[in-house]
Amino acid sequence: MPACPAATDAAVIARLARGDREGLDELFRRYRVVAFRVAYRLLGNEADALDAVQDGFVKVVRHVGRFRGRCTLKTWVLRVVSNAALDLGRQRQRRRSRLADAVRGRPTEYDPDLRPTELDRADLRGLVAQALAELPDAQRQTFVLHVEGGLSYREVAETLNVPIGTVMSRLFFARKRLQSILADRVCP
Amino acid sequence: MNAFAPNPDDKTPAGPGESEVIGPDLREVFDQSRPVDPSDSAWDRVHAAVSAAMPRRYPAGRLAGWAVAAGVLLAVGALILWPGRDTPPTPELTDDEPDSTAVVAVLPAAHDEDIDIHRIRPGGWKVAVGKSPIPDKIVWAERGDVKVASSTPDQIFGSEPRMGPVGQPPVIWADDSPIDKDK
Repeated sequence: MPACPAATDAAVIARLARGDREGLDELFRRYRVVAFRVAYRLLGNEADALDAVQDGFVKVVRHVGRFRGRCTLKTWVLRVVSNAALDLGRQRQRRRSRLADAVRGRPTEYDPDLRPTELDRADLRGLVAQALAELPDAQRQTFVLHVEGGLSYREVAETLNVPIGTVMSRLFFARKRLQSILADRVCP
Repeated sequence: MNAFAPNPDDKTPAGPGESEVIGPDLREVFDQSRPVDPSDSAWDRVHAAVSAAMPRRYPAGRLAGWAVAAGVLLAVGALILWPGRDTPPTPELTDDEPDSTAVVAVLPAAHDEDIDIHRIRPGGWKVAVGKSPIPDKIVWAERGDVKVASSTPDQIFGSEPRMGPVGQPPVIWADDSPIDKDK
């Protein structure tokens, strides 16, 4: 049985349904960061991630009447934003390929034992973005929702409307694939 | 040592478990590579765009008018369409066709989106050529995760459940050969 949304979810939803600007402020305050991080992991750059958050939040405020409370508001928001990110990613596939090529050209290595500088972090973000881009969309979305969105198996299953076994198998193969890809690029 | 190279001494179960699904090494890489939060001005732009797209609130009287009009249209549409509407027959299970899922719990491990059809040959045999969505084995449970509470010989053949030897996958099966009590 899916978890019921908390009362605060209901309050935010009611405000959004009334077109209340304070409801929008609350939506941003609560979910903008996690939505951005999920979108960033799916798209690999800030500008596209912000566009995806914008597209997703527009859908949320326009269709909040369709929210039936069968999952938490966070789960619903992340579903909408991650789907928007994947749609945007497909539209901008060529741009993402150029990004991946640019990253691939760098002789970057990452040493997990050293304290990373912000430049190192940027390089590492590029490597992770490239590795994630090599996963199939369904695996990438499942992995990012679980790892970056902080959703449980059950919540991811509800978000993507797939069985929990599918979530488990996607996470399993995504993890194996990422370890394999990053093993070649992240080394001491 | 490469943080992601397979460790031959690693005895961690290969199967997924919620706690170790990402693993400490991947977790560290993801934490270290977390994206920088956008600037306030960037968020202001997004907020303004979403705010502009919010549906406007209409006066109650205007909404009521639209609701009445929509209700009339809906009623007329239903009267026109309802009598001629053919609904597909709902498959019913008879006593001769027991519901197999009532006995065996199904754990789907792949979804439509996980399957890529590479090609379908035109004409003749309509065989879809694709790639298995499960390219490797998934270890759902290790030997220690399974407890056999009881077993009953098969009513027809008299065969009994058995466990594979240590080191083999913990598959429980039944065959009709006599059990070697010494093993």
